[in-house]
Amino acid sequence: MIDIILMALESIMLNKVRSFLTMLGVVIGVASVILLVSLGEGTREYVSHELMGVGTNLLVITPGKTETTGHAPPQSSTSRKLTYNDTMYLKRNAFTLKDVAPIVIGTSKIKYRNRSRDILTLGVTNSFQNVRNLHVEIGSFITDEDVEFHRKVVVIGRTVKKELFEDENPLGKMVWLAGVKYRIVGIMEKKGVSLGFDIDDLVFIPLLSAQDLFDTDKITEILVEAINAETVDMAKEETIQLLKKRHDNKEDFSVVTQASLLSTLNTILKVLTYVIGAIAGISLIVGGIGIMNIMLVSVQERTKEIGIRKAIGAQNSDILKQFLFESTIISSFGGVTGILIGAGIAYAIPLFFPVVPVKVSLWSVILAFSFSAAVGIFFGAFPAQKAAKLNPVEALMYE
Amino acid sequence: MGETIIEIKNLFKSYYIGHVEIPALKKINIAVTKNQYLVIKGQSGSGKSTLMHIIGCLDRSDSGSYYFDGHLVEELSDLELAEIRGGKIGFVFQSFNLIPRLSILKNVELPLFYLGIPGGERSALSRDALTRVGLEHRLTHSPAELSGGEKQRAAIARAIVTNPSIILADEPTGNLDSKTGEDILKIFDGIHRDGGTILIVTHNEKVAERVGRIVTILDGEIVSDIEMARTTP
Ligand SMILES: Nc1ncnc2c1ncn2[C@@H]1O[C@H](COP(=O)(O)OP(=O)(O)OP(=O)(O)O)[C@@H](O)[C@H]1O
Ligand SMILES: [Mg+2]
Repeated sequence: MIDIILMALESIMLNKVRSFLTMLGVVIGVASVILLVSLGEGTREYVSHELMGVGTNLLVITPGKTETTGHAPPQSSTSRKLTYNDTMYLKRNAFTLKDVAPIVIGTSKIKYRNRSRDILTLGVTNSFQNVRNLHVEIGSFITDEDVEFHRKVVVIGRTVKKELFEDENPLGKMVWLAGVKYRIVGIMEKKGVSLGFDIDDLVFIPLLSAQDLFDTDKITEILVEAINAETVDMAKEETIQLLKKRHDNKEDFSVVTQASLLSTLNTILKVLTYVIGAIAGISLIVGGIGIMNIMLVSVQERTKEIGIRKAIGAQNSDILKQFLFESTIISSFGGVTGILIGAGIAYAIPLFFPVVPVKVSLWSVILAFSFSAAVGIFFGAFPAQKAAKLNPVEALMYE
Repeated sequence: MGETIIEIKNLFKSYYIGHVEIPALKKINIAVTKNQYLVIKGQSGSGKSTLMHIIGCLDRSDSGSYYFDGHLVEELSDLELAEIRGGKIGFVFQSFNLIPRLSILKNVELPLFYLGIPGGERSALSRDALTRVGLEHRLTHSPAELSGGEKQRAAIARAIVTNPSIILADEPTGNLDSKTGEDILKIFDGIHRDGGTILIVTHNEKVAERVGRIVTILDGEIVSDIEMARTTP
């Protein structure tokens, strides 16, 4: 056994350039599988990690019903909007909800002295900070009285503070928001970018003030927090029942749990990873065809040698093994090299592009290696068979 | 008469080119016993190599019966034929047929390798065989580094290393000058003296003269089979 492997190695070494070029096909195939799967896996892990950070007890209520089966319903005027009163009703009557946080989202121009910029503006209630687990660092968050009395107060994010005030203390200062004077009451703690969404680059104002500012009585979405992860489904059921009561018994809104969102996204990204992995796998098959090609040439070149070996007692299976080992060694060696190169590039990427998430997963390494070995066996089988079946006399006479 | 190694009766063999039949062997009857030293001679194209390939279990006949060491060859599988070639027959060819990328020692070891003999024993037996043909100083050389006579001696070492029942040599001096050819034949003489059974195929009369039995073949038929009593040199 070891002798046959050594024998195969010997003939690989004898044609170094040819073996190297043949191997290169497999190397490129395996490296691209590893690299692309690592990118896919990295993205998936990153996204689910970020979503987990938001909390799995969360439900998101949005206006309009998103059907998952049947024909797409006409997104018509019949879909009722969500209101502040819906929120209050939920808060008063639900047993399974820990907190309810309505949000109005808009953009406005913020101005301080001669500095101004467009800013994402969130109208919220005090509940928001609990539900999203975001807190002020200095001052205080929006209070329920602020909301009730339509107060013109604003809590600003870190980036906003830095750009508008630099080293100045903004607390108590007045800023213009869409032409209305607001007093700064708090500064958020630093949170950074999450899901491509800069949490530091936001301002928060009382919900009703935001509705005034944007001249609407709609709520963009309501975040609902269940008591714990186990009661999420119960909370969803109760939310639907309560809201239907206020909406003429019609379910003209959608309630999505964070967990289901997470698993949907996860599934999509997983499928995507498999698909790009499979596309890269095609190049591995091309590499395999290269192996077959070279092995066929090799069998042809060594016809006489095969004849000699048979004359001095080699069985068909001995010849078969010799060539099969040769192709499998080439492909496995190419596989290992490809894994090293692919993983090397994958690990190097974050050094140059820190935002690109990569994760070299063990399963992709094992899969790529087994696949490359299998490619060698599969594409080596035909040439090896051909060699094994050669007629000894004809092979001996071959010049 | 010693024990019979080869016994062929009524053997026929034809080649086909398209549908055209080319009869190569017709009604061959021959028997070889242990420690015989014989020559099959005949003109080019008379069927000598064809007969040797069948005797050597490299090829099969169309009809007739062939017993090798008591086994009816027609009934053996390809695998069993390979086992006989490996263990009981030693081939020597006109063009040496050494594997160019293996050293002389590795070439001689190869039949033992296919017999499944472990590395150490393989090496020892091969060195012995190479010593018998006077090549003990050329173990690590590649065939390309050897002269024609040395190559043929290495090939003989490969043929005797398994201690086969019979050595089959097809035109072993055909590629050598007469002096070197004489040396090679002396090696065969020695193997015969030591108890070996040798069948040489040739059209060289000089080769024929030195052995105990001459079989002449013409157009695929054996036309004479002469045994000279006690003429072993
Ligand atoms: N593979 C083959 N296909 C067709 N005909 C063949 C084949 N091999 C040999 N023959 C024919 O069979 C006959 C016997 O050939 P063989 O090689 O046995 O002769 P030989 O006596 O060994 O000749 P030489 O002394 O030239 O080696 C010849 O007529 C040859 O043309
Ligand atoms: Mg011939």
